[in-house]
Amino acid sequence: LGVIASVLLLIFLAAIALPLAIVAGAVAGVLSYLVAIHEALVGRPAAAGDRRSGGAGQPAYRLYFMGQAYADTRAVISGTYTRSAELGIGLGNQVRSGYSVVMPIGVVFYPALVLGAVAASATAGVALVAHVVVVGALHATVWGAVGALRLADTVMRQLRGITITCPTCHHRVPNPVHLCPACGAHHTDLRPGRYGMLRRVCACGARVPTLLLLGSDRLRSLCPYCGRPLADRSGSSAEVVLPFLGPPMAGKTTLMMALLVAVEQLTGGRGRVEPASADTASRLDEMRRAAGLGLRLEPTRTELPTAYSLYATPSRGPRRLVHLFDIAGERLNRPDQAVEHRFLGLARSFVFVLDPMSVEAFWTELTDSDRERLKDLRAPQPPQDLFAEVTQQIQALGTDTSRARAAVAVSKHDLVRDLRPLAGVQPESGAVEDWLTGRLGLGNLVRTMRHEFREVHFFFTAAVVYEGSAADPSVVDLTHWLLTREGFALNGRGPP
Amino acid sequence: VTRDPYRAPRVLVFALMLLVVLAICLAAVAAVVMRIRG
Repeated sequence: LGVIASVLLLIFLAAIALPLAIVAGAVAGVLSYLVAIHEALVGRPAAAGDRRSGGAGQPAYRLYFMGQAYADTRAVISGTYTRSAELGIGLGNQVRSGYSVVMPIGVVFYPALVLGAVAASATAGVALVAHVVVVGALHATVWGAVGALRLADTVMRQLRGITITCPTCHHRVPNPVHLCPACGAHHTDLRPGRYGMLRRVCACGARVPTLLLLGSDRLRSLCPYCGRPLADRSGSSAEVVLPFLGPPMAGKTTLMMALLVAVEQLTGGRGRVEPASADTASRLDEMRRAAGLGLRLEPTRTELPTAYSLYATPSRGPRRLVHLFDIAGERLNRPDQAVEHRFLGLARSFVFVLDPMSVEAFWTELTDSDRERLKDLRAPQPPQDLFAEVTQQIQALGTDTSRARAAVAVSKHDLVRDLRPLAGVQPESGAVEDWLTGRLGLGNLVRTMRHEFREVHFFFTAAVVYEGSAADPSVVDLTHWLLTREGFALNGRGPP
Repeated sequence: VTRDPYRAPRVLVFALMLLVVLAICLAAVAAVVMRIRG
């Protein structure tokens, strides 16, 4: 009877205990996974063990799905295994120490334990596979989103014609170095990528926007080539590069100052002009002060020129960043330095400044008293050779001059307009061209320009500013011609 | 300033995986019940 009872008990235990072990094992497998994922993802202390990239990378946290997610997945897998193993070993030990001696329970529990372990492995395995699939899908989604954002950013910049030019070393900058607003760390490539989609987290913990739409242009930025500051909010507007070229003392700087006033006039109404960098603001203030005091402007320094960078916002149409390059005539005379004049290769419009007094045919026609009065204001170098040299430099730097424009500003008109050589000459482009060709004997120069450039326009310019706010109409004309050809939508011409 | 930039994505993954596991469990139970019912 005892044997029969034992067999019945065994059958009963087997019928109940084995399915129960399978269910318990399955549940234990899932629970092991949940405990492990909780420990790995939620329960761990803040950022402990997380690595910021160093060395050649960016001073920022990588996106979670671009690195840390792998480490966390490994932690979940090993945690699940450890939890399951601990449970199985614990149960096994209990069975061995407590029940195995009692027949027939021990006989049933060993196979139950094995079945439970198999079930636990199966469910934990399914959960882990699901985990890897979900993390992998999120990883792929993030990469896709990063690619889409980069593409959108590039397309938007292309459509808006946005470029970035360093005002100091004149390189075209594809990716400026952005400074973290909190700690000043240098982020050399802020575009959406492995460090952030819309924003990235700097090593200091500050959130830094990666897109123009979110204000990345408001960060301070440096040129990656020379390390000098770029214009404020670089990369937010299309640029206009406008070089002023001419021999020493031709009147380039004075004309540029008058042109700035003319730009303000022409953008009048709701439009405005503002310096795009503290450096430009202080240099302009200095020059305006000197001009206001009636002092003669210093000759342009002969080192590589730093651009005067200004934001010009017309009443209609988008804002533009205008870089004015006032380059010393002495530099242009030195072909060995031409390679440094990279801005010449970035411009589509050029202002050639020509002092009529520097042309011998003009000078010899003056009376002795006029020559005596004007001798200190005369540019010593005739323009022909320099213009040929500069045109070669422009072409050598990659500009297709057959697609570029040249404005020829015959300067110092306020000083010479009443003199004999200019008697009866109208200020229209054709008349100025004829006068240069016929009267001054600059036919070769004019023909060369006509041949090399797509469009050439001739102006008499008087770089005079009336009451500090109204440029001479001749400069307004020149400015209007330049700006409209650079795509500015100008409402009016401003006060005469 | 962010103290733990990975907090949010980790919680997201955790919540997502809870849902996924729950869905798998429900599907498994439903499959067993259907099988028992024939």
